[in-house]
Amino acid sequence: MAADALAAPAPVALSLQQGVPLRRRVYSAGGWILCGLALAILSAAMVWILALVFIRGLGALSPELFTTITQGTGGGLLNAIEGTAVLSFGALLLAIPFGVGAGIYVSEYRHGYWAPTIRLLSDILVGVPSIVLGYVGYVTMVEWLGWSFSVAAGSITVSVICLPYICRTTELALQQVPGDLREAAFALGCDEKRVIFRICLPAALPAILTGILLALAISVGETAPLLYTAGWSNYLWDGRLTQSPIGYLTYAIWTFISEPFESAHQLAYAAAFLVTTFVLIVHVVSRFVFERDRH
Amino acid sequence: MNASLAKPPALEPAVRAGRGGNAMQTGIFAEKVQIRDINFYYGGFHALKNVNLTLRDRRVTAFIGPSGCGKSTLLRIMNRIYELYPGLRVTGEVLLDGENILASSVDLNRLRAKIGMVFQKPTPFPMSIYDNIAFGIRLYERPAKSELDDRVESALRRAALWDEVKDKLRQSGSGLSGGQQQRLCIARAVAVRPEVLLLDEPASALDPISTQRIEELIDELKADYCIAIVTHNMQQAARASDYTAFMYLGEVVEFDETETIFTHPREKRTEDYITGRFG
Repeated sequence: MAADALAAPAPVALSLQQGVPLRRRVYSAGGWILCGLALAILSAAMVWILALVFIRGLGALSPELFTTITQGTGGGLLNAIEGTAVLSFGALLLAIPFGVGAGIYVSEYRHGYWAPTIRLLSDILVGVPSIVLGYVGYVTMVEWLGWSFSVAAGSITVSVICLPYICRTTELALQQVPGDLREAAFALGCDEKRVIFRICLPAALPAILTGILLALAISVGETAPLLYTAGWSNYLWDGRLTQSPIGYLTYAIWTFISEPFESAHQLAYAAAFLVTTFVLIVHVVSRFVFERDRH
Repeated sequence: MNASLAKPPALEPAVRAGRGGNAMQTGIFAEKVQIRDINFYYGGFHALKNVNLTLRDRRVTAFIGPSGCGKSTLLRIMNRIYELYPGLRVTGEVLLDGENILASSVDLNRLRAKIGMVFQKPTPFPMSIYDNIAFGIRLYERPAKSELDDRVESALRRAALWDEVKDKLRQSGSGLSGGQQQRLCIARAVAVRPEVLLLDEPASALDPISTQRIEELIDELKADYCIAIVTHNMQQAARASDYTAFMYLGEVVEFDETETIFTHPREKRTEDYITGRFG
């Protein structure tokens, strides 16, 4: 008995001409069809969205859009464009140092005491609905601190939204740096800080920048939290960080689409077009510029 | 700044004594690194068992043995690079010129500047060739630009790479071929003026021509450094080394002059391995 078990099994009679059994071919075809269907549905949805936005948006574009401010339910989008730029820049100004710093800590000191906690808090933060963050921002900054609708309140709230994304992408980027590279640096007698900042960070920079660009794309599209913290302004920014509301593109989309005036609708389409185009550009740039050198 | 460049007191006198030993006059090569009763554990696994041997200055000592016998592990104890990972434990002593480098009082960074390592996979830093070499130098010194240029050039010449890269020092190190990258790593290691060089299978990822050049390089380098090389290529060990240690399952089975090991080994296991009966 034992000898039989140990003996080599008799070769299965498989002719080279036989090919793959029918059942497997059916399953395989079924799988490919399902994949194709999913791709088609997703592509159709994306094409539909983009087509709608572009067609209506292109129809609404005009030079005045970029030169005049909104006047009631008409005019241009200059104040909204400027406002989005100011709010996003402010949000990134806060989110980048803290996000990258947290990401470095969580990656390089992952066996440290705080790393798992930070990662958990970061993941929880991603799950909090942005309108809730807006509400928190309203209560703390607009009311308690007395800032009223302002750039400060809006930027801080959006930075809190961007923070976990930047932290996570920085951590992942640093984890991708090969262990061999770190060992080689340590083996030269390099201290830990220099290994992180002179070797790992430069190597991870493209991926970190990609994460920052994606956070920028997110910040440009935020609506609900800004409604509660930045308010709305029909005028260009007066330079004040508090006590002064500011306009932004997503407000224009939200508010003007439900107005009964065609001029308002045109502004909404144009704003949607600008936001969508910007997000698309950000994604394309990060894909082709920063991820080019991956091998 | 000057104080920080001084060697820690514990290592200084021993260094002077070690360099003073004149191998040429006496005909005996000084004992540079003494490995005493080393036991190493990966968690519960006893990876190295009672290892005792000596590396001599200006000599090449090769470590051979089948995969998993612990040769790389032993090498990585000598510059304490294993400490980057949790759960690893070592007992015993490793003496560099008489001072135990496994003591907790030893400054790890300075230790690794004195005992350099080159790894199996060439790992140029993501910077220019010049900066790759200068990186290590700048860790401990602030040389003037002209002196830095000289040091970089001399390191590249040492590694037999200067002629090939002298016109493209500002280009990225990753643009070089595999063999050139490995020589860049060797140049980087010798630029910090170590006393001991640990080579962990330096040629195994390279083509035969590059391998030969690396072996020639080792032969030149041994005039100035104590070299330990781990290799799974027995012919390379026979060609390139003066002493050989045959390891098996975490133990040093036999350690002797290379010629003895390969012509009339004492242990049967050594002979079986040399003749290809296993491993």
